[in-house]
Amino acid sequence: MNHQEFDNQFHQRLYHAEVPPPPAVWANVEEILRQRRRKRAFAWIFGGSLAGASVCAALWLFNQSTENATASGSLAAETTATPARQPAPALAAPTISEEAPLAEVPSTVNRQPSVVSAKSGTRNAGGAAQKLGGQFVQQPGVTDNQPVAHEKIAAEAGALIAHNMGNKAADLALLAVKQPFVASEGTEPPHRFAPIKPLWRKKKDAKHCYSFAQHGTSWLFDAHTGIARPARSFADVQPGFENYAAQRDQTERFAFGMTGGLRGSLVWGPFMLRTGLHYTQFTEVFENETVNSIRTIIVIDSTLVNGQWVKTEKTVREFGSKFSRSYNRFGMLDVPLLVGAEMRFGRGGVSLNAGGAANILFWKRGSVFAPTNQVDTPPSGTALEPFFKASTGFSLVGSAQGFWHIAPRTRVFVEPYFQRILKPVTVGSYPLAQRYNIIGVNMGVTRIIE
Amino acid sequence: MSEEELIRSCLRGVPQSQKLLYERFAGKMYGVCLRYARSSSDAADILQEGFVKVFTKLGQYGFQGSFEGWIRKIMVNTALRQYQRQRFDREESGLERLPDHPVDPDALSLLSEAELLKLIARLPDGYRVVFNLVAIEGYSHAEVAETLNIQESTSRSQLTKARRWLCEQVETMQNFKAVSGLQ
Repeated sequence: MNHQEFDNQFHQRLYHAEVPPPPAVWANVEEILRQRRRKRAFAWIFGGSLAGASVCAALWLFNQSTENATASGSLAAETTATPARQPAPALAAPTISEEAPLAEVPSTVNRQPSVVSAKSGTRNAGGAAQKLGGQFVQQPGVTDNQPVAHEKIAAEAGALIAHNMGNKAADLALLAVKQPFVASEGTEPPHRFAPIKPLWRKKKDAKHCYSFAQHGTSWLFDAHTGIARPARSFADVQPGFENYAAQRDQTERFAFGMTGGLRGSLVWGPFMLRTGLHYTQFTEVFENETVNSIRTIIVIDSTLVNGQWVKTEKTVREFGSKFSRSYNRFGMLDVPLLVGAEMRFGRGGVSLNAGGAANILFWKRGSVFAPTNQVDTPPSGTALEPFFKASTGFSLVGSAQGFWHIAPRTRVFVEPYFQRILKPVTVGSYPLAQRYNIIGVNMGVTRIIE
Repeated sequence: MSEEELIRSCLRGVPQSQKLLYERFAGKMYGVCLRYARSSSDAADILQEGFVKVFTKLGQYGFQGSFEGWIRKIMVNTALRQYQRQRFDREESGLERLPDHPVDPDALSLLSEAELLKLIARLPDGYRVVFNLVAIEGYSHAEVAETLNIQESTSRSQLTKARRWLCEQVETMQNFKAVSGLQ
C-alpha cells in the first residue's frame, strides 16, 4: 500500500465519521448561549435606558425652557395688544361702520381701517363684514339671527382678507380667533414664538429645587454604580527581584473594574459629611506562554515477544510551549468618611469631597508568577494564600460631583473619584509591595430627606 | 425543516432550532474534533467552543457553499487554535530510522472507525495535526505551513513520521488480533 492509498483509506473512513458527542456538551453550549443572550439583553437595556434617559432629560429641559418662553410670549402679546384696545367702545357698541351699518355684530371689522377684532358669542344680526379698499361688504350666505361660531366667521373673514390683502392680515384674523385682542396696522403683531431662554438659568427653580436654606440640616441618601480603573504599582522591591517585578508587569494586564455603593450625607448649608458602603471589583488578566515546557509521560504497554505478552514501560518526553491565562479578581469593600462643600446653581451644582476610607482589600481568585518563576495559583481561603491576604487598611479619597435636580428632592449625579489605597494587597514576606490607586466614575441618584 | 429554514430560525435566536441544528451536525463534528484532540475530553471542549462560535457567527454564513463545510472549517480552526495554545511535540528517538512498513491493504479495512480514531488520537500532537490536515482534510503542505506557521519541510517530515507511526501501530494491532483470535 503506497502513501496515497494509505491516506485515502483514512480519508474515506474518517472524513464523514460520526460519533455521538457527550450529552453534557449541548447543555454547556446552551448555557453559554443563554448567558450571552442575557449579557446582550442587559447591554441593550442599559444602553437603551441611558439613551432614553438622556433623550427624556433633553426633552424635559427643552420643555422647561419653552414653557417659560411661552409664558413670556403671552405676556408680550398682551402688552402689544393693549394700545389697540383703546377703541373699546367700538367693541362695546355693536354698530361700527359708518358706510354700511351693521346691527349687533359681535365679530366685526372695526371702522378704523384694517382693525380686525373678534369676540366670542353668536351673530344675531347683520352679517360678517370685511373692509375691502375702504368699503365694507356684507358677506353673502350668512343670514341674520343664525348662530354661527365666531371662529368660523373670523376664519372666513381671514380667508377673504388673505385673498385681497395677503397672508399677514389673514394671520392676524386667524390669531384673533385664538386670543381676543385687537390688532391694528400701526401696531406690531405679537411674536408668535418668543426667543427661547438659555437652558442654564441661574435663578433657583422653586418648582424643582429643594431649599436647603429653609430646612437647615438635611440628609442626602444616594445609590450609585460606575466603572473603575485601578493603577497598580510595585513598591519596596527587594534586591534581586527587579526582574521578577518586570516579569509580573509583562504577564499581567488590566481588564475592567466596576463599583457600586450606598451613601448618606448630612448637610448643613453648603457643607456636608458623607459616609456609606462602597464596593469595588477589578480584574487583571494573567497571560503566559511557557516556551520550554517539558512533560514526561510513562507509557505502560504490552508487547508480544516470542508468543508471550510482556509488560513494557516506555518513557516519553514531550517538550513545547504551554499557554496559561487566568482572570485575577480583586475586591474591595470600603466605608468612606468624607467632608464636602456644595455649590448650587439653579437646579444643578457641584460638590467637592475629600476624606478617608477604611477598606478591606482582598484577592478573589487567579494566578500570577511566583517569585520562583512558577505559575502559582493561590488557593482560596485567607490563611493559605501565600502572597495575597485579605487585609484591612485605609485609603484617601477625593471626588467631584456634578448633580442635577430632576425633582425637588431627587437628584441625579455623576461623580469622578480618586482613591489611593495605603496598604498593599500583598503579605509582608512577599518580595514586593503591590499597591493600587483607583480612578473611577460613579453615576447615581440622590434622595433628599429632612 | 430545510437547512436554510433552520439556519434562518437560528439567526432569529430560536433555542429549539439551535438544538436541532446542533443535533444535526454534532455527530459529524465530534468525529472531526476527536481526530484533532488528544483525548475525548479535549474533543468535547473543542466541540463546545466550536458550536458556540457557530451560533454567534452564524450571521457571517452568507448561504453560499456547503453549510456543513462552513461548520467543519470552524471546528478545524478551533482545534488548531487549541493545539497552538498548548503545543507539545513528542520526541521519540529512533523513529526516523524505522523502515517503511509494508502495511497489508486489508489491515486498515479490518479496523473500525473507532479504532482508527483511537490510533490517530495516540499520535503525537504535531504529527496528528499535520496528518489530519493533509491526509484527511486534503490541505496542501503549503497551506499547512501557513496555517501552523511552520516550514513546508516540517509539514512533510511530520506527515511521513505520522504515517510510519500509524503503520507501526496498525501492525501491532494486527498482531494483537491475530494472537487474541479476534477479527
